[in-house]
Amino acid sequence: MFKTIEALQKTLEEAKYITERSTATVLYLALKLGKPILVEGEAGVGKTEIAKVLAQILDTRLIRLQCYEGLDAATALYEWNYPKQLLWMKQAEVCAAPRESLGKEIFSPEFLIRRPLLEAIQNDSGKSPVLLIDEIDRADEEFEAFLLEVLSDFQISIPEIGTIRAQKRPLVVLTSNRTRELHDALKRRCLYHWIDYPSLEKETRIVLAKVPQAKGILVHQVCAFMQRVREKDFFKKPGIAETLDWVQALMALGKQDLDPEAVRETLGCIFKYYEDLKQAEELGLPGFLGLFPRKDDLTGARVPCA
Amino acid sequence: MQRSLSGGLLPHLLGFARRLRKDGLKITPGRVLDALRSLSFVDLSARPDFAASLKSNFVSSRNEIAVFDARFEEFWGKVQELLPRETPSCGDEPEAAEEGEKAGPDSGFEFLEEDSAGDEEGEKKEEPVWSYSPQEKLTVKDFRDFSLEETSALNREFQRLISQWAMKMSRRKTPSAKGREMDFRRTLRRTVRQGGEIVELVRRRPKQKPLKIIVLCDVSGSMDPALTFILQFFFRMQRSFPRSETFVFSTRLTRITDILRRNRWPDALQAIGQRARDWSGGTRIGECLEVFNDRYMKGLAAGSAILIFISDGWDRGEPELLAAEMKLLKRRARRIIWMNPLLGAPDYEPLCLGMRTALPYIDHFLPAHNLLALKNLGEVLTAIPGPGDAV
Repeated sequence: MFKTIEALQKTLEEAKYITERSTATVLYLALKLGKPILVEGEAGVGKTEIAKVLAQILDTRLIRLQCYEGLDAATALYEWNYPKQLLWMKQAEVCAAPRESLGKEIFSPEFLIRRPLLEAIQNDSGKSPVLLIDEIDRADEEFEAFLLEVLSDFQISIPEIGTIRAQKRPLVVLTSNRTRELHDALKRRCLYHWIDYPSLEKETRIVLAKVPQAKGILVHQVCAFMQRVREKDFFKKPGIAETLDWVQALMALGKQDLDPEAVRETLGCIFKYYEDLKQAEELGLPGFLGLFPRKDDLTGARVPCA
Repeated sequence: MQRSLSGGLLPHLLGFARRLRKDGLKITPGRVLDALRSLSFVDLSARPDFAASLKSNFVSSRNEIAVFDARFEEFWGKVQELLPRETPSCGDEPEAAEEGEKAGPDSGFEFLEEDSAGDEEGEKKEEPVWSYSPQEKLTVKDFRDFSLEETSALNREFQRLISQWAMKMSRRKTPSAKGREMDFRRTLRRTVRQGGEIVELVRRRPKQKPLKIIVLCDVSGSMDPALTFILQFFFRMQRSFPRSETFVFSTRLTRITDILRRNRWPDALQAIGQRARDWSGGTRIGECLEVFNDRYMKGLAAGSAILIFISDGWDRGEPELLAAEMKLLKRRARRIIWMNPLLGAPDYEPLCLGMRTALPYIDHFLPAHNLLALKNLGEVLTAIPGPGDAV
């Protein structure tokens, strides 16, 4: 375990997750208190990544539950394997097996399909897994209420088998894109953390950490461009994921630095909506480019490497 | 560590929590205890860590972060000192904190008690708005007569209404090969034909696909008075039906779905005003619909969307264009609902050209001037059969 916040932050950076101290503090507390974390933020700022990197640095399993409309307990928790049970029954019929034992057999763990939540609670690896509940705002409200129940005592009762209690509580990370309000009761059970778009400095470090072969000048130009873009009102502002894509695309095209032509060719990496493409053109790409630091300025602004 | 904390810091922490609760943050005793536990893990002299620890425990949405930050500075002082300064700027709080210091556990107890009253109390505070205006009266009151002070009351009413619809529309189930849930009754019934052999497992899924609602709201000059309330209603709607889309139009069409998703209501209203530069201008419904049909209808609606117009139908564009575009829409949308704020007036008749042109293509023509009208919308919506429903 991590003794200090610094130690955690350093380990995170070694795992190529560049983050602010406040994020590290919240993660540190979540580990110490064993409370779930609710991470909110715009798309593409690295919410899901938090869970992945936590699993990586804790060297434990990542169990992911992707939420969607209509997600229900059977998909999230467990379900009996009905076809298998039926086949077993047919087989037993032929062999004339005793009825009592048959009843027990077909409702044994062997016939259980374990879904993510059950997996996370009934883990026998001896280490707490990381349970990522991704985009909880996309699930229905009923599911949220159900989740609340699971998260409050980390136990699940299956009528035919009994109550299963978590030996080691999983570390739970919930993410939300805020397409709808979450219930207060759920929020209260979590540590809350909001991730903003990264600062220029942070974004540059992230890109250099993730795409180490990229040239410093190009990275700096791209990140500065992104900062400008995010100040404007777009339908979908580009996140870090877009920045990374874009840098890689520019490198694949063999661009050494950013010029209007290069931007125009690769605009699809940044803007994924027709309105946004159109607005970017209306606002004028030179506007974003004009604010680039000149090359000779860059030598002064050395970019720290992660 | 824990002991020393509860001696010196606890009263201050409780005072701070109480202060935040006054600003509407939902802080329970459990959260305060967790905050206290958190503090035993961080270095209290490191102010940013101290702040981050409290923040993660006390805040539960982005909107609350600003409140927290402001109160934090006010309460714990701007400088690098940890205990709150006892200056007049802290109002009556330091006194409370001092008292707490003298009798630590007492103040904690008081807080707990206060908290268990929790939500009811919060409602009580706002009750005056309601107590002498019976539900009935509020329901039929024209939006134009609402004052800005009543916004929050109305907002809660909106939320209650809309969450009821959301529930109603997600409960029914229908058999489906792709469904996740077993349908035992149907499975057994089908075995009869096979002489009791189970041949097929019948599954089921929720009967209706979630409604996809597309709202097109007129923000031209003639709509002004009731507009903010109506927009606020659809702001709530957007929150409860994540798949819905919202547009505003007058001379041009502007998509505002993302604004509604991202912001608190007052900020959203401001952002809409900034983006829709034609706010309170003239109206060209036909042209706006042309853009909508061209650019969005295929992608967003895909045959199963319910279109809701909010407009008084005053149109300065070409009626032929409007008719042609309405016809196109009619073919693609599941239902077209037109809500007209003027329809509430007893003597209203759809005489203006725009309204007359659009009327033949509309499935439901509803008023939009008060809560009752919006309730009617709910009835219409819940009655519309889903795309996969058997007739």
